[in-house]
Amino acid sequence: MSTVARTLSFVGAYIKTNLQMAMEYRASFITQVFTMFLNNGMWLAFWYIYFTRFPILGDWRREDIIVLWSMLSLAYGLVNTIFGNVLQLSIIIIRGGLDFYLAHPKNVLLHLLISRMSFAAVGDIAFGLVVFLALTEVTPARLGLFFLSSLIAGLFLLAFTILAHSLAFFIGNAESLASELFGAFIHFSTYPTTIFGGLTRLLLFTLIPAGFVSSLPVRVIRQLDPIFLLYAAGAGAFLMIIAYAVFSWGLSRYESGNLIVIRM
Amino acid sequence: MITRRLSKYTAVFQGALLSNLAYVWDIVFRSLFLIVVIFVFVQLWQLTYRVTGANEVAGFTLPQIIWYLVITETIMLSKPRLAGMIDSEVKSGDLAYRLNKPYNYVIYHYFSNLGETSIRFLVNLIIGAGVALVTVGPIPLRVAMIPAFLLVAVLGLSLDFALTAAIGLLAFWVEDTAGFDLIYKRMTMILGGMLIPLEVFPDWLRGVAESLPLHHIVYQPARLFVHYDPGSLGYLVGQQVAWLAAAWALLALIYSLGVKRVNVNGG
Amino acid sequence: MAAIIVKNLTKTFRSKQKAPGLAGSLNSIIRPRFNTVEAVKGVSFEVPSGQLLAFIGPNGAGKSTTIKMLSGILHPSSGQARVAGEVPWRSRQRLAFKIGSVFGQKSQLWYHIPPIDNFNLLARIYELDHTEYKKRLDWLVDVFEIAPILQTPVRKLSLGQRMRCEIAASMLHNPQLIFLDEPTIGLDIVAKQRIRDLIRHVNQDQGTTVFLTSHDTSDIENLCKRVIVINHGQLILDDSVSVVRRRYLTHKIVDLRLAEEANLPPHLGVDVLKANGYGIKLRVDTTVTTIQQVVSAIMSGYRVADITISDPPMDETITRIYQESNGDREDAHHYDH
Repeated sequence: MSTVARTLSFVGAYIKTNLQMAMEYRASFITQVFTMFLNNGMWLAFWYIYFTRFPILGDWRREDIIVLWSMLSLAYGLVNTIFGNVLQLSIIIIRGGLDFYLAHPKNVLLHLLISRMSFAAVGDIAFGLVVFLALTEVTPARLGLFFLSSLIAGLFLLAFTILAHSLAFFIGNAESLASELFGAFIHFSTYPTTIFGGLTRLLLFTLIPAGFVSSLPVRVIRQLDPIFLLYAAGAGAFLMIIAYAVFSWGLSRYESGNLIVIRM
Repeated sequence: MITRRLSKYTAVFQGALLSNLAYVWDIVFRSLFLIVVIFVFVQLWQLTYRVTGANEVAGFTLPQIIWYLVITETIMLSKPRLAGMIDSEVKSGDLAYRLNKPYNYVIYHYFSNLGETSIRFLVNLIIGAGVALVTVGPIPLRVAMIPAFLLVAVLGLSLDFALTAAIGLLAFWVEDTAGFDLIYKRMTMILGGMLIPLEVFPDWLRGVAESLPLHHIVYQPARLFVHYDPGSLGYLVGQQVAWLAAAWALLALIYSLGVKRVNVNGG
Repeated sequence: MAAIIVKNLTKTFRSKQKAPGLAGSLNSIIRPRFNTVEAVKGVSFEVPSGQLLAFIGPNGAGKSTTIKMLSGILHPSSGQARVAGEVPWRSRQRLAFKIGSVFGQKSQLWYHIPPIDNFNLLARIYELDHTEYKKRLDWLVDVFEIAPILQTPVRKLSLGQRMRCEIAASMLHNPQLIFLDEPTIGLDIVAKQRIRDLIRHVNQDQGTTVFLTSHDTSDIENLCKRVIVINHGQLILDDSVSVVRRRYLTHKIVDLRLAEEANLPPHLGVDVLKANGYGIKLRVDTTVTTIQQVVSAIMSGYRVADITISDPPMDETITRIYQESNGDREDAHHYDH
């Protein structure tokens, strides 16, 4: 088997195990899904109220915001379902949890990320799909672009989170900082970039690249701008490379705390 | 005797103040996110006002609507995790063990909650006001507004306490109260006017929001802050007190039923 | 006056039995079936004021149920009780002013503020007169030796320091009786001893009745004059500690170091627990033979370099008591004091 195939089957095995675990805790699973719908639904209610009063924001309409939220939900959901440990990364680093993965013959980052699945995240996937299918105009082309955009958005989310959490290798108390950075990223990506001024917009396409993500609904899904699509995909890949590099660098500096963490 | 009784609860309030001051920097750090939230709101509304070309939208000028949001966010973010804490105290039996102390469990938590809320409120207000001052500048403030604001805010938070504590106490009968707590919180955020003032709501939704007590917790204090109208203060306070009385009656009922369960089942 | 009077205290828990599925749920509403658990069955005892009493039993024995009834949290199914002159479940708040409690596993102190702030807060909660409170505080701080840690936030204290503050806090309002549940849990030997000394001092100096529960039998050995054992909801033992020792201590452990390798001949009533080369450990059944006999028999045949004679650990004794009560569930042997 080729390396890619082996890696895929490795990932697949973890997904299957995690899903089985989710089925065991069915009640909590359902609660978490419901929670996600409620959380995201609240913001849709906000935008519903806003757009009823102000039909246009920049060049955005209500439908664009709905697309944005469903795309983000799907992206966030996919990332946290497959790479469920990503939001715990800094905690794992700080508490010496890396030792377990270092002792295994698989890529540490990948193994670490996929060994957990967030149940709540499945709610986000459901929300994203349901809202897009029910509340927006659905054509095969749009659906395809929707999935593509979600994947790109997911790439950004994953990369940025890995980058933010890798700070734990270099500074103390990185947990709170990482979650604040992540929160900021998400928050910025839920608004159209049109509302931001020049300096902020620059920030949103560089240090906190949420701008790429929030532009996808109008620059790809509503009307495909192929150059932007390539640009965004490229930027996402670039961010991922940087994130991986920073993590690897941190890992090499890592000193374990003599703890071998037993898998629960 | 009454003063001795009250003094014990003000002591609890003071204890909570001191306790939260001890790690105030932690609170400050977590509240930094407020800067991002207010900042983004400023951008949104600046563009909105520019596009409509009007000075006032739904009766608010731009600075007024930003300060409105500062207050609503401050209020909502000051609330500690009450329902979850009560839930776990019920489940772990901690509540039972507090029954043999010379104070009332609910009132104890009210004052403790008030202490924590006060510190967080102050921190959030300072941070939020900072962002507002820098971006849209100050709004005209009448000195007479301040005590009225504090009164309405405390009444609103007390109402919120009663409802949240009641949810937490449902733990006597319900496996997990977190779902109810979340629904309540989200409803307060939308229908309470945290994200957008009720004036902007479509009429039918505004009607729904005004028939619920939630807007007394968030919308009313914030609106009073930016639009002080002494004439309507009496009526507003009257409404708040009415809702408050109803909520506390409900809370008292749930609590006494719950304690009976402890008396029979040991908690 | 007795600090605690308990007569035939009984607590039966009923819980609904529910079969799985929808049919089961319906059934449980129409024709409910109940599981009954008799947690406490007709327990009676009296505790004179000023006594230091141990109340022990294995997990699930009915210990905490009894204590909850005595502190007014739980209402009994039947029976009577008076604690500090009050009927606990009827005058719970009044009782609260007369009793103190420390639960080893749960802290009643606010975590982020120092003990002194905690004490001041408690003074207001217990509605203490200011001058009296100050006097009492000074005394407690002195006895418990907590002056150096008064200003340190509770979260920074070691477990031993925290326990001293907890017990001091429980005594601020001069209660007639204190419930101490696992006060020495998690502490090292030195800290344990210190806590025990404090409890003893407070009991003797102030006449405070102490109702102690502990899984650590050396707590009992070191502190208490009287021990009540509960198992399966009934009292199986209510006696002074010395009587318990005499009745149940039928063995002694003899540790020997001989000057030469030896093969001891078997002796009636003696079990060899360990024998390797120079060191020998024996268990002597004192109902069958005497220490005098065994030791002189050994010493007449061998040169003894060192000898230690000790009681078997109290743990063993208590475990035997529990096991006996599991074997035959008859009424407790009652001895008068």
